Amino acid sequence: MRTGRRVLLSVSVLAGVLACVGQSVGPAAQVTFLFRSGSTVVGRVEKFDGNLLVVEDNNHRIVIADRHGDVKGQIGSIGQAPGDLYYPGDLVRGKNGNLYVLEVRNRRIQIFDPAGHSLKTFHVNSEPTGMAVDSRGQVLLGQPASGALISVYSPDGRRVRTFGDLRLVSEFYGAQLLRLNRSAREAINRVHILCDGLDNIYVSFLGAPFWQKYSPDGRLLFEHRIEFPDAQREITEFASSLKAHSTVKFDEDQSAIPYITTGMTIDGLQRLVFSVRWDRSWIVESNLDGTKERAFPLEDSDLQIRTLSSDGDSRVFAIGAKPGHNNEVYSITVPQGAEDST
Amino acid sequence: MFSHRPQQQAALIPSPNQMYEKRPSSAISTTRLDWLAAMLRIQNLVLTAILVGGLVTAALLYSRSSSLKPLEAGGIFPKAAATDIDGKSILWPAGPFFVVYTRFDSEMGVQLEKYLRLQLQRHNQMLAVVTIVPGGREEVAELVRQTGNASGILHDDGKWRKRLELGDSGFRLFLIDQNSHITFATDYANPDDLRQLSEKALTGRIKYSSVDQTTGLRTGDRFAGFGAVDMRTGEKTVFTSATKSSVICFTSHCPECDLEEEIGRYALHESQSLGRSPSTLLFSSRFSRTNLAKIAGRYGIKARLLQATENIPGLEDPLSLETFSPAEIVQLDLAAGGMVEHITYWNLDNNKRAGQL
Repeated sequence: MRTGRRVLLSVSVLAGVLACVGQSVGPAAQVTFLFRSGSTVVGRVEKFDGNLLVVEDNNHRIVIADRHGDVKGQIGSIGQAPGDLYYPGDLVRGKNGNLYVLEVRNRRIQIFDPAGHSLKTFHVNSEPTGMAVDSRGQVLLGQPASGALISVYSPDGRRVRTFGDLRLVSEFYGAQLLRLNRSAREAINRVHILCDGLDNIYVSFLGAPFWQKYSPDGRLLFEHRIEFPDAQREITEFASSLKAHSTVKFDEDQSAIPYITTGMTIDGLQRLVFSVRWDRSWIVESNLDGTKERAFPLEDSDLQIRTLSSDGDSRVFAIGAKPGHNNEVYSITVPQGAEDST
Repeated sequence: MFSHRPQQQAALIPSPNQMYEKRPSSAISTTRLDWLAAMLRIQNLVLTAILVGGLVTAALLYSRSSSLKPLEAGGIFPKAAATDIDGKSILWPAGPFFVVYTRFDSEMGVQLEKYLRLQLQRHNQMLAVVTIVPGGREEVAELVRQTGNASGILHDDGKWRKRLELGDSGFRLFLIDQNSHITFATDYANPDDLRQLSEKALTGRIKYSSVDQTTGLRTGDRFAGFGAVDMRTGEKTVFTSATKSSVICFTSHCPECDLEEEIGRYALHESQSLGRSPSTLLFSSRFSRTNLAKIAGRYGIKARLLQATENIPGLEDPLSLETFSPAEIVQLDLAAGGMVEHITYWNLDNNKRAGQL
C-alpha cells in the first residue's frame, strides 16, 4: 500500500513538474522595513492586539513590541519552569487566542493564555520543525523522525496520530540523487505547516520547492511545485552539482539540505504565500486549491527572508537579513491579481 | 511397539516439545538409557535457561543503556564527596551554582570555559561553576593546563557519569539551587545562556543583548591589534596585516555551519581566486583548537591558520561572543596596515557560497 502511494506521489510530483499551474511573474513585492530586533536570532512575528509578538530565539523570550520595535513587554525568560522559555523557535496563535510556543531546546510545546500566563507544557520526543494548531486546539508538528511527515498532538499533549508519507530526495530531485535518500531521509522532510479556517493542512518543504495540501483528517489532496522563475533551475543545479546557495541543517539530521522554501503563511485575503530563494528571494502567492500561482521578485534583491506570517489583507510580516545586518522585521505587500494571471 | 521406539529416540534427541512432555513416574526407568535421557533433558533445560536468561539480561541492559536519560530539572543533584584534580576536597557551593559536564576540547566546552573566565574577569557576576571532565586525574590536569582553566575542576573516572545518568551524553549543563534541586538541565547551551541564567538567579533581572549594527566592522575600519594564536606553531601573536591580504573569519555563528564542510570548501578556493593574495583563516575563540587543526590538516590548507584568543573585533561581541555579522563566514580584504577594503559574507554571496551536501 505504501509503495503504491509512493509511486502515486512520484507521479504527482512529475505531473507537478510538467504541469503549468497558472504560474506567472508579477511586479516586485514592496518591502517596508519596520525595525531591527535586539536579538541576533529571531523566529516568527505575530500580530497581537495592535502590537506584534516577536520570538527572540537566543534571548529566550517573546517580545511584545509596537510596529517601530519599541518593547512594551515580554513573555517568558530563560529557564525550564512553566512560563520560562529556552530557545523558542516558533509561535502560533490558536483560534481561542492562546499562544502556542515551540521550544526547540526544551523539546516542549508551551501554551500561554492571551495574557501571557503559562497554561500547559508538554514534551515532544524528536526534534520538531514547523508547528500549526487546528481549530480543536490540536498541535501539528513536523517530526520526520517519527516515520511520518506530521505528528498530531491532542490539546493535552498526547500524540494521537501521524500522517503524511516521508518523501525521498530523489522524488524531488530525480534519480541522480538516489544516494542521498538514506542520509537525508529526515532532512528533506523538514517542513512548514499551516492550517486554514477549515482545518485543511498545508505543508511546504524547506529543502525543495514543493507544497502539499491535506484534508483535516490527514489525507493528501494534492502536491504542487512552488513555481517561481528559479524553480526548475534550482532543481537542475542541485541535482547535477549538489550545490545550494544556502543550506540548513537540524541537530538530529545526518545531512544538510538546500534552504529553498524559507517561509509560508496565509494572508488576510486567504492566499497562500511562500517565500522562496535560490539566487534571490521571491514571494509566491497561490490560491488555496493550488490552481493559480504568481511569483513576485522582492524589490530588495539582497533581502534573505527567514519566516513569514500574516499582517492582514495583502501584507505579510517577514523576518529577513541583508548583508551587514542582523535579523530585521519587514512588512511585505504581496500584489493582488493572481486570478487574472495565466 | 509403535509408540515405544519413538520414545527412546525422543529421549536421546529431544525436541523442544518432547522436553516438556510429562510422563507418569512409573515410566522413569532405572535403565542406563533412561538415565542418560533424563540427564540430557536436564542439561538441555539448563542450557536453554542460561541462553534465555542471557538474552533477557542483554535485552534489559540494552534497553536501559538506550533509554537512559540524564538527570533533568526537578531532580536532586548528588553532592557526593569529591576531590578536584589537585586532590583537594570540593566544598560544594551553598547557593545556586552551575555544574558543567564537558571535555574542554569539545566545542561547547571551549566556548563555555572561555566565557566563564571572561565573565569572572569583567563582571564577577557569575554563579559559581563546578566543571566535571571525564578522564583520569593526570589526563584532566593536562587538559586544564592546556586551556588555562584554574579551579573547580573535577575529573570523572565514570562515577559522575553514572550518578548524573549521562549515558552517552558528552555535554550537560545543570543549574542547582540552594536545596540541591536541579532547576535547569540541558545538553545545549551557548555562553550567553549562562549569563542570562546567572543574572536571573542573582538579581531576577536579565539584561538583554542589543546587538547594534553600528558597532560592526565596516569598510574603511582597521582590522588589527587583537590577540591570536598561530595554530601551527602554538605561538601567541597580535594580529596585524603588513601587506594586502584576505582574511576568512569563521565567526562564532559557525556552530550553525559545518566546519568540516566549510573548511573543505575553502580548500577548493585556495588555489583559485583566493590564492592570489596571501590569505589567513581566522577562527573564533569558541572553537576547539584540536578539532580545527585536525580538519585543516586533512585538507592540507596552506593559508596561515590563526585562532583568536578574544572576540574577533567588529565581528563578535566582546562579552557574549555573539556575532554582529549575519553570516557565519566573513571574508575581509585588507589593505596593507589592515584597513578593510571589502567585506564579503560567504553565506549571502551567491558566487562564493557554493554549498555542497
